[in-house]
Amino acid sequence: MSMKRNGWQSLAFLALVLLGCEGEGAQGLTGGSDRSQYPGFGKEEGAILAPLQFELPDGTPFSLADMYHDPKNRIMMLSTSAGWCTACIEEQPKLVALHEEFAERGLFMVIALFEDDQFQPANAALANRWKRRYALPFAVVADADFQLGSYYNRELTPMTMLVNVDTMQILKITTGFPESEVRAILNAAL
Amino acid sequence: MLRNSLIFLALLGVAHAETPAPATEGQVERTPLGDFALTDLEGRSVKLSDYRGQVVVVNFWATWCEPCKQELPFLDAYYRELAAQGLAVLAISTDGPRTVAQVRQTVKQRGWTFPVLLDQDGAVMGDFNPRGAAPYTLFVDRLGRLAGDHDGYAPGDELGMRARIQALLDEGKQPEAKEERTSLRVTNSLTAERRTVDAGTYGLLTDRLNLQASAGDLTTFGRIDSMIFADAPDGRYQDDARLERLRVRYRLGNWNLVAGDFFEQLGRGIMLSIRKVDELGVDLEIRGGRLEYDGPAVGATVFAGRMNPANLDIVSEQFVEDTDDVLAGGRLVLRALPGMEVGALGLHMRPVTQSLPPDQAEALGIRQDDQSSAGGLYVEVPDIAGLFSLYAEGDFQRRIVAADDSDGKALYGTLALHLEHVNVLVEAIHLDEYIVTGSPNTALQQAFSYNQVPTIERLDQIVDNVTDFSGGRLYVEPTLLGGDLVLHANGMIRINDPGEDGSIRQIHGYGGIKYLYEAGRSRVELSGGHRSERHVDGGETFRRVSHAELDWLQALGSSSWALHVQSRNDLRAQITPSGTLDEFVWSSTLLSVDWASRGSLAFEFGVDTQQADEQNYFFAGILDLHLDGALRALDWADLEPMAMRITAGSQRGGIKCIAGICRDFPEFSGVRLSLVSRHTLGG
Repeated sequence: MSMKRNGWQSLAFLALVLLGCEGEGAQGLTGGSDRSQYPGFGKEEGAILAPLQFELPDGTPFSLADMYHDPKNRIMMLSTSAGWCTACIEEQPKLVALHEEFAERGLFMVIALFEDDQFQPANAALANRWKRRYALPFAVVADADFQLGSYYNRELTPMTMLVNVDTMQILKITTGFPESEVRAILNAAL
Repeated sequence: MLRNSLIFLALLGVAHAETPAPATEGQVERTPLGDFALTDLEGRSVKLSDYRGQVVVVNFWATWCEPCKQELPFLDAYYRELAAQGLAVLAISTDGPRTVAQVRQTVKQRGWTFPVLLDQDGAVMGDFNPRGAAPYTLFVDRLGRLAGDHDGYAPGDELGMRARIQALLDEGKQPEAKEERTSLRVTNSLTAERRTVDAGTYGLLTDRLNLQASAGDLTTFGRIDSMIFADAPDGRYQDDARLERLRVRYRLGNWNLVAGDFFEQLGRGIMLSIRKVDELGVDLEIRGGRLEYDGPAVGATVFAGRMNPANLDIVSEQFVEDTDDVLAGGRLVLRALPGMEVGALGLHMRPVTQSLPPDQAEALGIRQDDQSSAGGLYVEVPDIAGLFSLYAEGDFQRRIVAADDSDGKALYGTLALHLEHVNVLVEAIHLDEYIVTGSPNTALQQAFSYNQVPTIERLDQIVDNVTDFSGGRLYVEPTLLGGDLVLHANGMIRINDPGEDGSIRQIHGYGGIKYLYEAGRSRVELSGGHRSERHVDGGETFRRVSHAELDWLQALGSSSWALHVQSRNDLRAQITPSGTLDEFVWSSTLLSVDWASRGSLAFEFGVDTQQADEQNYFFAGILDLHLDGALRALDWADLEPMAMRITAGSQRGGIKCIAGICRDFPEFSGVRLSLVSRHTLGG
């Protein structure tokens, strides 16, 4: 049963990817279009989130596509953090509490670190330190290239993103951590 | 949020930060000013028209504005001296929810005798001081006509004001003068800048044209905002021009009707506070209708409309989409018992943009109908036996977000004790998930906040939780030497998210001494303190700051020149991912030469050592020139009121807070030129 759903979802995801590529690449048929950058997925609410790749605390790669393939994941909450960001540090215990409350119901939570406390790009070691220091029972990854920086204004870090894993569509992008609203959406969606 | 670092031109002194536009001064063609009504500190309704036949000085000030508090003693002295000749002074406090609790004790402590009026929602400021300058003074002749204005205060300004008041008094009643009924005042603020930010270098031309017209009991206000970018880095920076504000106000006796854009506040701003703080990009109004009755025993207000945010966020300079969120509410005020006011408040709000995109909500089976309703009660006793004043408010809220119901509760109280040589203020607040937000601010990618909570923290401190916290503060202010020497001490404790995981306890102790000398023309103020934030569980320090400030204004003899030094120095520390505390210095010093009513030249130097391998030092130069005053002083020309400010240098981004509202400012490097001009036409 699980494999069956997995397979259908993979097909659905692939179809969505192709649709996304088709939409972006339609003008390419005329030739001469700029292909220096791979056509992106949407970066706004309602759009499909690209299968971004990050680095886990042990140095191995982590792809959102991997997360997508696990059928128990229904809503993903992606939060950006940085070592210099005290608001991010402040919210970690709240994220743990939220995860404890909703993980069984299908919440997949991931913290994406993009810089350390000296504003240098994040790496696996930082992700490892962060995960251990705040005893985070969910995924912590390094986003060294700050891919998520194109989804919001970095100066307004942290960003909270909610994604419907069934469709990989972005439900919500907001800066800060509006805990009450996030909780309400998770309550309604899960 | 981004680094807690330098913000040049700011945080040195809120007063400087609060007057970003150049000041103007001038005598204008006399036209009717129009009328307004506000309540005084005893809760009585006071109208400008009550003073017809007298020369009226209308002064906009705030408790956080040091130049205001230096200027007002002179106005009080003139008032005492010249009241018998027909002078009236109306000092309008523009303090918002964050600081209004301190107005009464400031007035009592200084012993000012003129009427002090409260404009908490900024409605009168919006009509008569649309740039929000502080201090800002209007001179009204005996026929109720605007005879001139004065923007800002520097030592020596009081001499010109005194002469202007005397001239108006000497005019006599002019019974033969024809009373004009209509007027049009035009104020234009033009800013051109070239700046470099992370996204690139661009040019920006912004213009804000304010039009104020009055005809009898009818007053109108309009504002046209325009912005043109050159080399805009991306689509977030958009050219735009539009009629941003339009308001028609009609007063008839105790009735006040407004159609168009208006400010609104319920209670002390916990339930609703729609007002303007330009320096932080907070520029919200409700577009709709408002009807107010303000009688001696009963007052009532009802309003309804849609939220209309300004479309240029002046902090990020990015475009902000309109929200059109629907609001309706009102208040009922009873003054049945002498000296006491009891009020009931109500608000209903429906954001247009729901929590989730409609198709996504449908896919998830969520029937969205986001909304919130709130009710509250307050009681205010302005004067108990001449010693105490009291305010208490309780609010309850029911929210529906993504089909999920939740409640919010708020309690707030303040008790002030006024003795001859000491003031004591106690504030206490408890907020339990009290959230007043609407559709997203597209420049900030987060929901607009439609309230302003008394945060109990010092104005310039970072306050990152205004929805779920408990706390209190004690403020003691003894005065000596007839009020010239003021001491103050503050203690504050706040618990963010009490009882929850990650709860943080904030403690802030600070104090200082201020001395006015040379008949109030010079002042020196020293202050300092320590603030720490710790996790309640485990007690680990999360963030701390030790701070010291100097504000010294030295008048140079009896001339109109003065030296001004403002310095703020912080030793900050914040936790790193390794659990250690990273200490760094944040410092900013401004040295300026002020030329009363003509301008100032300032140099600013800053230090920020948070990033070891980055630039740690910053410089900026600021030239303020009141073109009209300077050219008149040099006998070169007699212009309509016009002022110019040039700012050049680099400014580091960072969080800046004013009146409890904090914004994260982007880095700036470049040049900015501002021009303000005013014209008046009568008929």
